[in-house]
Amino acid sequence: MIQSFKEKIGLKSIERKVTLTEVEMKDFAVCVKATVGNTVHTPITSVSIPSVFTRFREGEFEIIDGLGIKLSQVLHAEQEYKIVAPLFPNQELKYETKLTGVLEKKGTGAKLAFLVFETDFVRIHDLALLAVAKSTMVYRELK
Amino acid sequence: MSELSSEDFIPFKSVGVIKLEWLKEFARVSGDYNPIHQDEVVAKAMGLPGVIAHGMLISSLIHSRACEVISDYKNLRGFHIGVSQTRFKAMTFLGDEISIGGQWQVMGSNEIRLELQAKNQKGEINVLTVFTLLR
Repeated sequence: MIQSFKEKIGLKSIERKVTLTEVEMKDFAVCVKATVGNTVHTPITSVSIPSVFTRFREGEFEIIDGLGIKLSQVLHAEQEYKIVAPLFPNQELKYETKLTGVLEKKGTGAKLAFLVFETDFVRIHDLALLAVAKSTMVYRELK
Repeated sequence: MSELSSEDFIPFKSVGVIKLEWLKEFARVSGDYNPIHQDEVVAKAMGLPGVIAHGMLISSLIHSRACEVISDYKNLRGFHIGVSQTRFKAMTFLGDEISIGGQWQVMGSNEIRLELQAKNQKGEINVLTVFTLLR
């Protein structure tokens, strides 16, 4: 099965358009105990920290499903965010996710595949790049 | 508010004990409903010892601490996190108490890094994030 993943390198999710409301951003901030945002040194009501982009992983989930993998079979190994511009509430964004790499490894008791996904987040009104997320997920092929 | 020095360490501070209600709330606010973070039967069927916390919950707690720490230094005014790189080193389980701390790495006047770790009550490092601060 892992071999078939390699053939899917380059696979893209559909493009999604999203907006995070002030309430959604605040709920996220409260849950992860964020009190200060990334761009200003004063507390703000709807705190944006870089990891808020984790809110937009539907593209990854779509590709994982497309590979025939259950979400429960994958674990997060690495996550990187490059933040180009701040994310504010009610900004319209678009993003799509791409499977950019598959690396096979042998673990104890299971074959492992490291799946690398990249997602570009673009502000719709001026097409400015806001952030790039790179996720590495581990799939365990249980015996 | 103080001045940053390359010698500065960020003391470890508890951010809470992982509970199922917290994981359910993170699933709601993040949209990650992977059942291994909520359902013990599914987690065990997947070969895990039990329900594990979302890696991105722990990573987000680290990001929150980073923003808080950065805001404490007056000579970091104008800086923001340009890059964050997280490695999930070990699983976090229900009942684990998570503490976050770390240290600064001042590479030069224009390159500052902050490395923060999340540890459990046994002192095991679960998650490590390196932040690159940009002006």
